[in-house]
Order: sequence, then C-alpha cells, then structure tokens
Amino acid sequence: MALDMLPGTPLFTLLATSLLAAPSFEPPQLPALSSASEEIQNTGSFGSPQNSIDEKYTLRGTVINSLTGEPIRGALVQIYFIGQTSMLTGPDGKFQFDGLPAGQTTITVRKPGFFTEEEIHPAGGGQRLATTGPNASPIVLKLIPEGVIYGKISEDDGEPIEGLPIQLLVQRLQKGRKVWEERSGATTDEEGMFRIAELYPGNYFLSAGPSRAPVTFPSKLSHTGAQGIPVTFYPSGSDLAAAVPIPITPGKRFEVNLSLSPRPFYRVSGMVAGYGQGQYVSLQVLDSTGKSVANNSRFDPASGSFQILSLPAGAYALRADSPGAQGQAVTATVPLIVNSDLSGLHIMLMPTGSIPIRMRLIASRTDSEKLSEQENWSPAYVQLVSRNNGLTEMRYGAQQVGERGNPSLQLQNIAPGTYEVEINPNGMFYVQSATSGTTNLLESSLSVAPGGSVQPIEIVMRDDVASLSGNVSSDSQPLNATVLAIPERSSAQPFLQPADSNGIFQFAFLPPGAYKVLAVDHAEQLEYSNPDVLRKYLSKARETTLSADQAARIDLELVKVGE
Amino acid sequence: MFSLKLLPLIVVFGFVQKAAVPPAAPTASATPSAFRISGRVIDAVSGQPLASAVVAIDSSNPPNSPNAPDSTRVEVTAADGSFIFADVLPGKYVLSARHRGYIGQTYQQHESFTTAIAVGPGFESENLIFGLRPGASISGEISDESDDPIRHADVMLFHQTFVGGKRRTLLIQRTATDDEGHYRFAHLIPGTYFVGVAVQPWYAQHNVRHRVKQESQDIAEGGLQPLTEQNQNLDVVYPVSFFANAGDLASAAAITLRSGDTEIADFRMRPVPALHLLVKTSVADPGQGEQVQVMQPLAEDSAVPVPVGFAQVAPGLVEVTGVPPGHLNLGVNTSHGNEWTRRSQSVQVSSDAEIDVTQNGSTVVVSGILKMEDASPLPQPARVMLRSFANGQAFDTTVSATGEFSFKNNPVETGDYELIIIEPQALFIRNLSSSGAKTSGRSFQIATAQDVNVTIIAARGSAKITGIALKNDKPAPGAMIVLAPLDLKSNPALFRRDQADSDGTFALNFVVPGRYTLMAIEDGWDLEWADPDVLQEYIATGESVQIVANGKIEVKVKVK
Repeated sequence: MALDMLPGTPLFTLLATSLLAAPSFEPPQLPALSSASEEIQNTGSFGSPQNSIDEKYTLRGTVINSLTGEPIRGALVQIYFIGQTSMLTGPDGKFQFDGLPAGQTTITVRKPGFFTEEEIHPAGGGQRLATTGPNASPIVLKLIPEGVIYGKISEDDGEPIEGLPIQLLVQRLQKGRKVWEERSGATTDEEGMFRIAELYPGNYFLSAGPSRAPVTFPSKLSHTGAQGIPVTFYPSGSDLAAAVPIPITPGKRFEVNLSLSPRPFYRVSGMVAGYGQGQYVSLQVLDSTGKSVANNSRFDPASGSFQILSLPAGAYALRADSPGAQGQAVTATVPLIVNSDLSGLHIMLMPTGSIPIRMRLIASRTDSEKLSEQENWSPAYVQLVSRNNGLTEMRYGAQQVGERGNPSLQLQNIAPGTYEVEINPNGMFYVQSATSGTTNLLESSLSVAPGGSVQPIEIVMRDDVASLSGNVSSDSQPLNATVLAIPERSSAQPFLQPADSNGIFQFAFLPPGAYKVLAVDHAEQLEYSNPDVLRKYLSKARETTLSADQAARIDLELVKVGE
Repeated sequence: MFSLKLLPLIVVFGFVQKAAVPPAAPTASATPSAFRISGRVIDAVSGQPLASAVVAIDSSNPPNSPNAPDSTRVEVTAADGSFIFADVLPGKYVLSARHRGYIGQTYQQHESFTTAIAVGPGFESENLIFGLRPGASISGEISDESDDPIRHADVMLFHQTFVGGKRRTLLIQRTATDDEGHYRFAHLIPGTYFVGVAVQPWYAQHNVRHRVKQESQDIAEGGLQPLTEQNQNLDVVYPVSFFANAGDLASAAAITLRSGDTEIADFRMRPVPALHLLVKTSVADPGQGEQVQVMQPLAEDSAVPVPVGFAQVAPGLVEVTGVPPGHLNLGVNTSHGNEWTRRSQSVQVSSDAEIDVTQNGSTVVVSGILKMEDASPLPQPARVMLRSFANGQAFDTTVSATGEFSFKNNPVETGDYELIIIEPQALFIRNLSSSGAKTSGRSFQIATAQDVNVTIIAARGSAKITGIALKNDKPAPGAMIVLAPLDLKSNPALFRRDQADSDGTFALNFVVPGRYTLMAIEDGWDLEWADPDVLQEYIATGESVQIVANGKIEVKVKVK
C-alpha cells in the first residue's frame, strides 16, 4: 500500500550550490531510497527469510583503526534497510542498530582523517555487507588512517620562503599501466610551513617551486636580473629521475624540511616564423616530465618576436603552436638548454600531418554485415597516444571524413612524435592487422617526422571471433579472480575478464591466435601492460591457440600477485 | 669614425627606451643623470633602521601589478637602512619597499594611493624616510563538540575599514582549516578585525520529514503527514559562529591589532537541531522543479551560502532541510518551460516553520533603458550597476544593444539606490528619470513594493583634471585630493580622489562633466569624506571648478 506511492514521491536530493557543501552532504551511493517509514518496514529488505517477518534483530559491531587496532569513537556508520539509518560510534567504538528485520545490508563507515578499505582497494570486492538474523555475529569495521606530509621550506640562511608551491606526484596503476597522478598540493605560509593531509598509502615524490614571482635583484649583486627558487625534488636536485620517494603507510606523518637557494632566472627570446598572418602563437615550456613550467611568455603577432620572462636553468622543450591556415595547425618543438639569458632563438613552425585511415571489414556473420551497412557507422575508433614517461598523455582521435556511410577516417593535426596506435572496434569485430607502410602497429609505435608525410594506416578487421570459457580453482574462499588472455602477437595489450565468485569466466570475443592465459587474484595491483612484469608469472600460464569461430575451454589455477 | 660616433648614441637610446616609460616621460639625456632617489627604510613603530629591505622604483607600474622587468629597478638596504638609486632620469617614480615580517607597501601608501617621487631640477628626491609596519596575524584552532579538530572549515576575516569614505566592516579574507583544525591570517595591517566560521558537521544527516497523506492530496486541509525520524540526533547544524561565541557580527568581539601583534581566536562549534522549512511555492510545470538557495547574511556586503537540502513533497510545496536558526535569505527558482521565476524572501527562523513565497513580498525588480544623449547607437558591451546606499550591496547586469537592462535576477528591497555605468568607461550618466520612483542626481528612492522602471540618458567625453596642491605656496606632498559634486548626497559615483605626489601634483581621471568643488586635505586619510557633514567644513575653502566634456584643466588648490 505504501510501497506503490514511493516512486510517485518526487525526491530531489539536489543540494543548493554552495562553497560550503562539505563531503558530508554526499547523497547515499546506494540504490535504497532514503525515505524512511515505519509503515513499510516489513518489506523491502532483500533476502529476508519469510518465517522471520515479524522478528526484530540487532546489528552490533565495532569500528577500529586498522593500524593500531584501537576503537574509533564518533565514526559514522550507515546501513540501508528500507531507508538509510545512521549512527555515530560510542566512546568504545561500538555501534548497535535495533529493530531490524533479518536480511543483508550494505554497511558503510567513515570519519575525517581515515579512509575506508574500499577507498584504498577500489577493486577489492566492492561494498561491505552485514547480515542480520538469529545467528548473526557482531562485525568489525576497519578504518585506515590517512598519511600526512608536512614541513618547512627555508633559504640556506634560515629565512623561511613564503608562497612557494609544493606538489606531490604518486605513481598508480591504471589499466595495468603505471601512470603518474598529481595530488592537490599546498603553498608555504609566511613561516615557510606547509601541510598536505588526506594521503592514501603510496610512494610520493615531493617537489617545491618554482617561485611564482621571481624577484629582480639589484645591480650590486654578481648576477643582475631575476632570481627565484627553481623546482627542487625531495631530497635535492631538479630531476624527478633522481628524486627519492616518500613512503606513506597508513597513519604516517612525514616531515620534510628543505633548505633551498635562490638561483638566477633567465630570459629567453627569439622569433617565430611560419604562422598565418595576424594569428597567435601559443608557447609552452615543458620540463623533462612533459609538464608545462613557465606561464609568463609574451608573443607579438605583428613582428613574430617572443619572450619568456623568467626561467630557471635547466633542460626544457619549447613548444609553439598556431592554428595555421585552412584548419591545418602548425607546430614546432625545439630543445631548450637554459643556463644564461638566451636571445635570437629561431623557431620555424611546420605543418602538422594528416594520416588517412583505411579500414577493411571481413564479415562472415549476418548480424555484423547488417551493422556495417548502417549509416554513420564507424567500425572502429582510432587514437594516437603519446606518453611521456606516463606523466603526461596526449591523445589524437580520428575524425570521420568523406561521405555519410563511408567508413573512412582521418587523423588530423598530428604533431611530430612517436605514438602508440589504439584501435577500439565497434561491435563484434577484432583487429586482424594494422600497418602503416612496413610498420606493424600491433607491435610497434608510429613515428611522425617533422613536416613529413605518414603512410596511411591500413586496418583489417574480422568478425570470426573465438570464445574462451573455463573455471578458476583456488584454495582461498571467497574467490576473487581476474583472467588475463595475453595474445602472442601483442603481449602488451592483454584481454581481461573477471571470474565470478565460483571461478567461472567467459571471454565472448577474442581474436583468433595464440594466447597465454593466466588467472590472478589482484589484477588491479599488477602492471599487466608491461610484458617484463608479466613475464615472471608466465610459467604459471596455460597456452592455447584459438582458431576462427572456435569455442574453447580452459581451466586455470589461481596465481597470487597481491601484496 | 662614423660607426664609433654612432655606437654610444644607440646605447643611450636603448637605455632611454627602457627607463622612460609613460606617463612620466622623462627627457632623454646623453650624459648620466645627476639625480638620485635615496633614503632610509625604518620600522615605523620602533624607528629602528631595517637592513636588507628590498626597495624598488618603478616609473610606470602601480604597486602589486606584475612587474615588467624593464621598468623596475631594485636595491637592497644597507645595515643602516639606507638605499640609493643613482642615475635616475627626470620623471615620476612609484617607490615601494618590502621586508620579511613587514607589510609591503608603497611610499606613504593610503588605500591604493601613494606619494610618487618626482625627480628633476628643483625636486627633493633624497633623504626620504620610508616607514614599514610589522604585519600582525590572527590564528586559531576550530574544534567540534567532541574536541576533534574540524578540517575544511570556512574561516572568514572581517576588517573594519574605510571604503568609499565610509566606515564599514567588510569580509576581506577567507581561508580553510587544515587537518588539525588550524587557520592563520597573516600580513595584517593594524586595525579592528572580526573572525567568523561557517562549517557543517561532517556527520550531519538531514532527511525529509514530511510527505502528503495518500488519501488526501490537498495539503491545505492538513493532509501533510510527518515521517518518523530515524537519524534525528544527527539532524544538526553548526550556526555560523563569530569570535568569541557570538551568533552574529553585531555581538562579535572586536580583535584590535597593532603592528606586529599575534592574536589567537579559537572556536569550539556546538551543534543545534537543524530546522525544517515547508516552503509554499508557485506550482512548477510537471516534470520540472524548484531550486532552493539559502544565504545567510553576515556583514553588509557578504553572505554565505547555507548547504541546505530540499525535496518537493507535493506540487507547490518544498521541504528545506539542514536549515540553521537565524536571519536567512530564502531564494526559490521555479521553472516554467524555459523560464525561471525567482522569488526571494528574507526570514528570521528559530523553529520549524512554514513559509509562503508565492506572494511577491517586499522585493522590487529594477529595470530600464539606457539611451545616448546624441541618439547614437549604444556602444557594446555595456553594463550598469545598481548599488544600495543602505548596505553598499551592488549588482551588475548587461545592457542590450537597444539599451534595455533589468536586474530581474537581483530583486531588491525598498530604500535608496544608485545607478552607475561600469562599461564602457567613457560613458557617464547625464540624467536619470523614472515614472515610478523619485530620482535625484544618479540615485533614486524605492518607496513601495512596486517594480521600478528608470530611463538613463548617457553621454560621452569624460574630462581630466591635473593640478598642484600648495601649502603656504609650497608643494604639499601626501595631501588627499577630493573632487566632490555639488549635490554630495545623491552622487557618490562622481567623487574622484588622488594623493599629491612629492612635488604636490595630482591627476584626476574620468571626471564626469559638471560643477564640482576641489579640495586638498592634509592628514585627511581618516576622514569619512563620503559623509556630507564631515566634508562640509572643507567645501567652504575648496576651489569651485566647472568641467566640460573632454576637458583638460589645471588647478592650483590650497591645502586645508
């Protein structure tokens, strides 16, 4: 009676726009409606046994600090029977929800200064469940204390440095590939102090500087002109490669005190040529990590002259871009070694390249034939990806060119460089081959020379996929397994498929070919896009060769890679 | 021989180009200049010399703007605080100094004005005494009712200051607490301050408390049914808190800072039950809804948004949750097709309440038309500003190419208001008229809760006044120059001010044509000059000036 009116009750949990909207006002992440009512308490809990419909049960538990095992008072525990019910733990870290039906509920816990286990290991089994009923036992919820990096930055004479930006870089795995992630940083206060909290466990690289406002120093000093603090990585040096990571474990408080010396900042000037009349040229100075460092460049479109007002000594790349005529952008990247004022630099912008893509479909199944006859259907999305030690990533996507229904693509305005070619087929196709001239793009990168033309990318796609299913066995329960199918021809791009809790898995679409197949427990902690990392597990992999349209079976033993 | 002669000329020319930046335009000289700017930097409180202070002269840039390196020269003071800039070309220079622990400032800085140093024959540019004041600070810790630190709290610093010639308490800085609940405001100038904190309990749960009884859709007949609260003890808010333990700015404790003071202002936040408001709105189109915004006014020009939740419990009825008690501005946007209607109401709540915003209430929409006096097309983009005399609150809106404008997004209450053309800057208001409101100068009065339509006649050609302030026939550096319109009360936007430079000269730009009184006031920087009663005694001895469009006049004015 009451249930059918619930969907009719418009519930806008929209929040008023506000700077103050703290994270505590996040709407519940769960499907359960947050409208609570006594009237409808007898229904709605999933999995509740029928004979206990009138019985009321209690859910008890304790919230503890995962590091110390100590109870945590004042943590917010929330369960989702019918509506959402919340309470704070007592001084002993205990909580107790009364009057609950038998069943199962998601249970969450949070407190400022702590992470939940789900936040630390997002792929580690999903939401925590709690069971109520006659035989339910108290549960223990763990919170993981945050890490903090704090300290003081001063000049070598002890004077604190105010207003210096502090950044943190941390390496994470994303789709089996190591990527750098920039954490929100801090700025030193007038005592030179900084503090960055809410750090999850990991290895952090800290950098300080460069000064945002270099100062101009008087004529009496040996070096006249601007001085400032260059980028310094903890513990010293300007190079990320030589930096020492700060290991942050749960609850770690790490103090960093740096003593830095002001250094001359230099001026770089020169001319740019090769841009369209009246058009603007944007200039970027990129450091060794591919990050843009200086934002104080000036360009005069009338004369073509440019100036970068202050730059610490170092090795950079200077990149210039301009829209160019007829939609074809022009670009140039020149190496820039700075250890004194530089003038008279000359940058010649070159046209960027366009790369045609030719696709051939070999369809043997009627449904894929139908698909390919549809208008506006593009058989694949093609991207060029340029990675700079994983710190920055640049992607160029393919655009549809030519008539409607003509599956012809082109990559436009491609700057010189080396790219990986990513091909994501639409529908039930796989890439049989991808080449540019004599380069096999499934194995090798694509090189685009400055101002030079690039051979068209030829892609052949087929739909005669194979399937692979099987069972993962393990002595650990519950089973948490991901199956990797590593193709022999492009071992850096394995196919992934999670197994269910019984260990059953199925790949529905695999290109025919030879594979090594491996079941692992924690794929999210494995750098599986790196063949060198995968190699040590390959002795435990099984090999199989799939032919076109084949439905194969394989059984696997779970391999532990976690921790 | 020829090339040898040419070379020094080129070098000198290059130097002149670097140093001679307008508007000072020092004259070129083939020999090094005989002029210097020199002096001593001292602690303005103790009088002690400040060594290693960074002193800069800049021929063109106002302070705090990114320095163009070409036009700035820098020196560092010696152990006795002295500095010397040699070979300075004739012209005018902005002198500034900074030192760790002191407030960086320009020479004899008042508000954004400075006494620029005139350099040249007959000008005194040496033996300057430049006093720097040590910066003060306010810091503290915010904790919750369990003595846990509160992170990410919004801490606001209010400063009692002179703005536009009036004493006002304004929000000047905001910061957020760190993970230990600490905040800190540094580099503060001496004066009177207040600190406030806005934050919500991180654990708060604000659930909707009402729904319509199914058998009766008519809410007017008491068909509304309260829901049983499950998270009642977590349905709490922290009211905005001012140091020390005050609920509003009026009862807050003033923190008086002298140079170099370090004051502590700690807060312990105490939760109170959150209020639930039932707001009767006009009925939105089906499938579309209302948006509710709640703002809490803190000072005359600042309000903080309150992070409320809201849910439609029936057509035309919205429950607002997470509401703190106190004085609030409730704004409801209702959608009708692509149009949004905004209703806002000022309310004082101390318990759960029902509020009807379907009545227009006391707010008024100001709209109008802006026409050029010579019937020429209105230059674009154009914007006008509406400013309240009562509290200084100001809104701006765009003016269409055909001259229409409307402040429909910012309905205002009755009172006195002023209109200002803020873009394009070359335009000024020649005349203001209205059928519904009483106008006077550039201002008008909204007496009744009826929408107001105004007609603005605009003209171009603002003028420039330059002059010299004299005391006993000698230049009076540092004097406050005030240009006041005849009708002091209704035209605050016509006032212009400057500070006399070291040679007594000043410049007033963008002067709207009309009749004025020009005054030079010694030690006038603490005057409430916007108060007609305060200014009256200086007006009698001021110079009367008539300014015509595009005019450029020069005036000598005696210092009082």
